[in-house]
Amino acid sequence: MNFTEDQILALAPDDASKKSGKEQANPSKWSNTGIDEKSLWGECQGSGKNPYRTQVDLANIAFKCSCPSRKFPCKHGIGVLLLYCRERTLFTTKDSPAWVKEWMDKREEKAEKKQEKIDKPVDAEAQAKRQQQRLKKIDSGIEELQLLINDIVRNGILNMPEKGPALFTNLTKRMVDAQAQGLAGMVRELAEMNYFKENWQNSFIDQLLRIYITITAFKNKGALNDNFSGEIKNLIGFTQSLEELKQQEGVKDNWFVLGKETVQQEQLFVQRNWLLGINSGQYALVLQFYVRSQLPELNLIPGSVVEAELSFYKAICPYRAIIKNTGKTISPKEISGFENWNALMKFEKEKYIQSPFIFELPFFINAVSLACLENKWFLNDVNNISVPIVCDGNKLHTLLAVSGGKNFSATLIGCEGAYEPIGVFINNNYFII
Amino acid sequence: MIKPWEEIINTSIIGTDKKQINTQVLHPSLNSLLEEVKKGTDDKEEQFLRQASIIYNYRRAGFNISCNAVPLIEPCAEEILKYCSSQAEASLQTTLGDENLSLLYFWLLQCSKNNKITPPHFIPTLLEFAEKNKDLRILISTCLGERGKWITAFNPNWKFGATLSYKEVFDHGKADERKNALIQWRKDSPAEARETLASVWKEEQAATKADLLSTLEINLNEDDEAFLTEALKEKSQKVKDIALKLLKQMPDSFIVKEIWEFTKPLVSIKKSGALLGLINKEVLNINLAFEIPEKFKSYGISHIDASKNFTEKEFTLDQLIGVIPPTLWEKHLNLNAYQILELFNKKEETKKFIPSLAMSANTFKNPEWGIILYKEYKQVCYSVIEFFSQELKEDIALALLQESKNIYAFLPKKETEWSQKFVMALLQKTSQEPYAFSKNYYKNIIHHFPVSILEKIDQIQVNDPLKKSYWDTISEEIKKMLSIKKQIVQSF
Repeated sequence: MNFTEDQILALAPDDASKKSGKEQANPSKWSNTGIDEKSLWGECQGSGKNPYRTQVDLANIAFKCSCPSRKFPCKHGIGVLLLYCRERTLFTTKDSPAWVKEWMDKREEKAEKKQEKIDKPVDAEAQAKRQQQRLKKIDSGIEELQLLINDIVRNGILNMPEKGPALFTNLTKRMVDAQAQGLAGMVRELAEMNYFKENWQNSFIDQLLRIYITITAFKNKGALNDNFSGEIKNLIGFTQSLEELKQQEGVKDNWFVLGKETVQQEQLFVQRNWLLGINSGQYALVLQFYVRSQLPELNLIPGSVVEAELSFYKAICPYRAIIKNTGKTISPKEISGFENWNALMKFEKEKYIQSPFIFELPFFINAVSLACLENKWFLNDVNNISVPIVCDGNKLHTLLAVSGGKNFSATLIGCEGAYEPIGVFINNNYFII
Repeated sequence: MIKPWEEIINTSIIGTDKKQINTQVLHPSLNSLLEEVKKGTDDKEEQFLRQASIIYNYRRAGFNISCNAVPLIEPCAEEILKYCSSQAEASLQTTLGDENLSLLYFWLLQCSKNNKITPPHFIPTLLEFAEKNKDLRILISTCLGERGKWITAFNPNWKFGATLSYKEVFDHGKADERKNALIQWRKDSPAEARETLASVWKEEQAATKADLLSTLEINLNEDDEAFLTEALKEKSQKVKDIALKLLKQMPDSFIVKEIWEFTKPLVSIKKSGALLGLINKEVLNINLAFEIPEKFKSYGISHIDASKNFTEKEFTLDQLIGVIPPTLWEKHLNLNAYQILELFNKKEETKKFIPSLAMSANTFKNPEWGIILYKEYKQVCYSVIEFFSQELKEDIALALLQESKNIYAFLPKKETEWSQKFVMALLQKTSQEPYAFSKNYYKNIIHHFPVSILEKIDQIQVNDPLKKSYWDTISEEIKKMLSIKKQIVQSF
């Protein structure tokens, strides 16, 4: 296990847990610490009579602790990982105690049971009926949405800064009622749009058209091929079942975790993980949804490489995926990305040509250098072609510090030439920007 | 030819009720497709949305943002020093995460002493710390290597005045920047700093004058006398008070000379025989039959004693003694510091002047007198503590802590580790008052604690059960901080 402190702290559910976790990384509090290939454990003296037993599944990054905390991972989980990161010499025991073995065995058993449950047949008739009812609701929601879009187009968008947020917040709720969660998310973006930003009209019309294309395609779903209609359904909110995804053939690769971002949407946390298949060159987006006090099922650490099989949702250009199976986590060595800007943009444009639903993508580009003109920052490729980047403040300073003005490989997130660096790979080290 | 997307935005702003997409202004290659998608509907909004969707995809599929050769930034020079170990990196990460400035100071000190530098990704964070903590700036700069120097060019907040001269900051800076520049200038070149102040003196406001004048205390010397004497004529009482205070700190100033000439004859040694003349006994003879010159009142010499410990004349003399450099007594009485103080201490009526002698030893920074005054008479001359041994400094600090005074100004220099004996004595005191001496108290001074305290800290007993539970939490925190310190020591 080669996690950095930053990577470990990124697992904490909130800032308070980060702070308490750091406080727990105190050798005087821990006893019977140890590590083997699959797990790490220790006993932490808390306020109670018996020490808390804390254990970490290193392969799938999961935690268990006998403390009463409802946070996952608790401060002890974070603490024991931090302690390992700081003082490995304290973790000399390699034979896991019975309580660790028992938990690890149970986890394996649970995974097997889960698989059995998947194999169980479902009541197809009842399912079809439910589906039919849902379709009705969605159709009615879409009709309402279409009417509103037409109204906006007819009257012009000038008054959107005043009317937009309230209008689209209500419409988001309506889409949730219509069981069109995907559309609700797309409408929510209109509600949360920054109408005070220069050229907000561009972003607004972009998003409005994305919605329009989606609902128009949905109306014509019968005429679309399997992947196209699958993507449309996903965009509307008919999420492809996990069981189905797990059964389809996946892409086995060493997946480089390019970055991670968590945003809160009301009570729900949405975690985006961007991955790059080192051998396949395939990009993937793994989304995880969880509520406060829950732990996402997977903890992917940016900068690490995971041996895994990814199963992609149906789409014209497969991008969103789930992780079917994971193996060990390894440190990255050589990562190959786009050779220059032309290659990157060619790839991007091809995606746009294939699918109108592709929006923001991750890109990994090799051998770029920082350039600056009139306080605007650019990345120059090997051919000395410059492309502006969206980067300032702390991000820019970190980028400058880790690169030193020299060549580096970078992970960028963006579209149509508006790219934001989120990671830098230099001298076999990956830095989150 | 208008860009297709601009036409979409223009139409959407106005609304299809008033405007339709004008396909004539667009590239001809688009026209047939745009006309095609209009078919099958008369609805103007639907037509717009269809055509806009085509142009949306057209725009995305053909975007081009690259431009030719924006100049690359000059890369950073190769590092001369080596990066610290990964273990040291981990301890730095911990220290920064805890925002523990004391341990950060210790880490930087170890890094600098071992001629190592921090890995580059720490540079922005450390420079932000330097921005907020002036005391750490020099040390942080030393630990950032070539890249640290290089990166400051990209953030004006990180230049820390290094490229500006004292004069530039003094001429154009804000009030506190000007004062700080003058302080540094006085340290480097006292005459130049004073001359600069004199050159702008008339243009400054009274409050600024007082503030800037006080900086002359640094490296105060006889060349400053003329300027300070002139400042005595200012209208502002505050300015006059500061000028007077500074003149009274100069052993050769006309004020000190006048006071000395007046006071010298009032104190003499009287020899008297004892045991039938076998022993010569020396005592101080104080002549209190004097009238002070009127102008002494303008020097701040008063005759009213608020504490009523002195008679009117004694009180006046006490103040005069407080202004006289101790070395003048040595010459006048032909005795050393120890003997003079012993003579003063012999009689009740002269003993009361010892605090004023301590005051003058403090004013004129006389370490010899300072040590005797502390050791024999428990009088602390703060300005000379820096010349004391570490043991004596710790002794004073503990005594002062008893009186709830700020001890840090008197303790050994910032980089010094305090003795285990002192820290244990300190903890014995502070642990009894865990509410007053909370975690933050230790967080600010932990780098002074020797790591060996880790094994001793459990010996500290707090009897009050409420306080004990609070202290237990604090002591855990101290142990954690000491573990990090231990980790830092081991990692370099």
